[in-house]
Amino acid sequence: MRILRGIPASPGTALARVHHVTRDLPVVVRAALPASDLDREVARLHAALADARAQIQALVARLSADLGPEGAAILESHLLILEDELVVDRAVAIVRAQSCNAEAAFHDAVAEVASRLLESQDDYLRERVQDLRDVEDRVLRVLMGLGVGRLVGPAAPSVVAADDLAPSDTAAIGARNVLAFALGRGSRTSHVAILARSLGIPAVAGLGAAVAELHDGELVAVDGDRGEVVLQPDSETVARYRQLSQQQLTVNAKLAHLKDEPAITPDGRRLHLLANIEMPVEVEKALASGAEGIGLLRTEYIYFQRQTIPTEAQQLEIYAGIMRGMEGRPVVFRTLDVGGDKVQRYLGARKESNPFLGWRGIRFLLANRPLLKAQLRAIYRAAAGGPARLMFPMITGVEELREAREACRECVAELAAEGLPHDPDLQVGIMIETPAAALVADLLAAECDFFSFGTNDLVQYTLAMDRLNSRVAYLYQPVHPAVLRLLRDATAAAHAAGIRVGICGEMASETRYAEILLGLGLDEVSVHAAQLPKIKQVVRWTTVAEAEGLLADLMSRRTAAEADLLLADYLAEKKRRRAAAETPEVPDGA
Amino acid sequence: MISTAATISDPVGFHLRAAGRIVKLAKTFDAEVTVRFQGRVANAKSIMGLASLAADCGSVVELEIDGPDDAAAAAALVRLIEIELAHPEVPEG
Repeated sequence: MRILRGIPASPGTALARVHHVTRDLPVVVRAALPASDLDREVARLHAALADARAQIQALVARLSADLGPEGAAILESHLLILEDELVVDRAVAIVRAQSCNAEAAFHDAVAEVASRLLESQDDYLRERVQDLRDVEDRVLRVLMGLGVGRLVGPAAPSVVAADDLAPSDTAAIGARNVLAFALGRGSRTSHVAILARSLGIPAVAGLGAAVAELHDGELVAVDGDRGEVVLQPDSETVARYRQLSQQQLTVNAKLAHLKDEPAITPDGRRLHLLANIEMPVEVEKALASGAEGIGLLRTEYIYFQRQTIPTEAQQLEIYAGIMRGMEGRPVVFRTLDVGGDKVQRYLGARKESNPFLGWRGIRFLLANRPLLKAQLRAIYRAAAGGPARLMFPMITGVEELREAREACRECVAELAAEGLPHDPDLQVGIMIETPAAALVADLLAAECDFFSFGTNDLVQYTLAMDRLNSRVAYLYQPVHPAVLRLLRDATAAAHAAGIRVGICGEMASETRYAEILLGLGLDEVSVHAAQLPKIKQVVRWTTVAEAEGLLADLMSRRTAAEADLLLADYLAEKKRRRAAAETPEVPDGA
Repeated sequence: MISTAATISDPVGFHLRAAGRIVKLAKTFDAEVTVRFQGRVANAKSIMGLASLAADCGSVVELEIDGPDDAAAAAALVRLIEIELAHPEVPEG
């Protein structure tokens, strides 16, 4: 038995066999050929190389404007690999010398070059083996007449292990048969982690190179609360994890009956509970968890899933589908929020030395008017089918809001002139995720219809900490007095202006902070569907007076550590009282 | 045949991108170009060959150029390796 430690990324436990995800290389079958066939085989190899070249050139042509010079250079180096004598001449020589098929010869030639690179002391060079494999994969697929390769999900319930998963990879794998994720890279706030939490799948991230030790088919135990993966678990551990998963089922069953109950405090305050989603398929899960609407539709996936920017018509189809699925419940569309850790080369966003302070969110959108307007038009048109709302990310001041609203007005005028159905009175709100926005909340509230706190970024910008940097991760302190003051003051400013204010950040998903949200007097809370019943349970057990008292106590503390301690004591005490009252237990943590 | 040497100016050395630029230039000449570094030998028209030399920025590589246009090739390649690699490639068109 061996325990690998990583970062707890999504709660829960799982015990299952490993499904190690890598790009599935086509399996090479070696065939001996008669001497008379060798010329034809060499010609077949050259034809495949030409096809592969055409594929890459098509990719370059389609993407070069968006990939930036760095991305285009990668693809161009792949073109050169296709012409490289070490690869091509060697493969031809192998066909002739060994009388074998082109697949086997090409595979062997690539393996020879790869082994040379792997001998290097240079990390960068060793990593270039990935480029070689990428090219090999493409050529072999052409030779074998296979389609373009994609990641495949597990066929049986499994722990999906991977070094890293890009958002589109995760989408390709899906949630089917995935009992847990074990990842070499990433953290709590990386995309797989967020997705895992939204789907209620346990995940451990940041396992490092050790993730390679999770071999396909081996039984492992994953503890997403502690951030541990147990290799070769002994019988005692296996029994413990079996029991844990049984308990989890029981808790879920207990919470399931809350689905149709409203989120009302014992003293009658109603909190609207909505769900955060990223993909249309999550609508079902949101409804099943009792969501009153979608409080945050992250539209990034809809862009990242494809190789090209989706057109207005494609977006409209997806957005209208989500509106239909929500059956008249509100849906808050957040416009594309790229940049930061979500840089997509295809959108022309380049690597920046300070991406979180760079070209992201509304800045990117306002600089890409055609892209912004295509999305706005699709949202305004989808809003004809139900109560949609529109939300802009990364606002720092009134100018950005005005410019964004101007784009909205242009779209409405165009749609009216074109006679297309749309909702001209769509509510327009903003994310409060920068300290600047929180500090001028009164000015912003006068010019928009609602606020939604994005706490991941608000905490990061307020405390000047990069949440992806593990050395400063300890500074992720949602109960830091600076963060609490910003939340309190911006909420007060919204209410003074008579607009609604909610929260859709990570902080909302953690049950330990639920009472703070209630104490702040927020109108709406939007969380991952899987967390929704737990938050509802807290609301139904907590009076407003109690929550306001807790918030006041927390705000009187001078440090985040003191506030955290106070919160922990408060929650422990509350749990004890509840246990004494023999009411069902709130599951720990989030 | 011309034998000469060049100091690599690319800040990251002979990595894939720099190697790609050298290959593209070398292929415009008929001359054969051999690059030697620390006992390793590569054809300048092979991207993987050049990359696997693992030559860092500031290191000196030896060039051996043989063919009808060797003088022009030598001048162009030395210029690329010593000067132009330090600057990002200007996109064509």
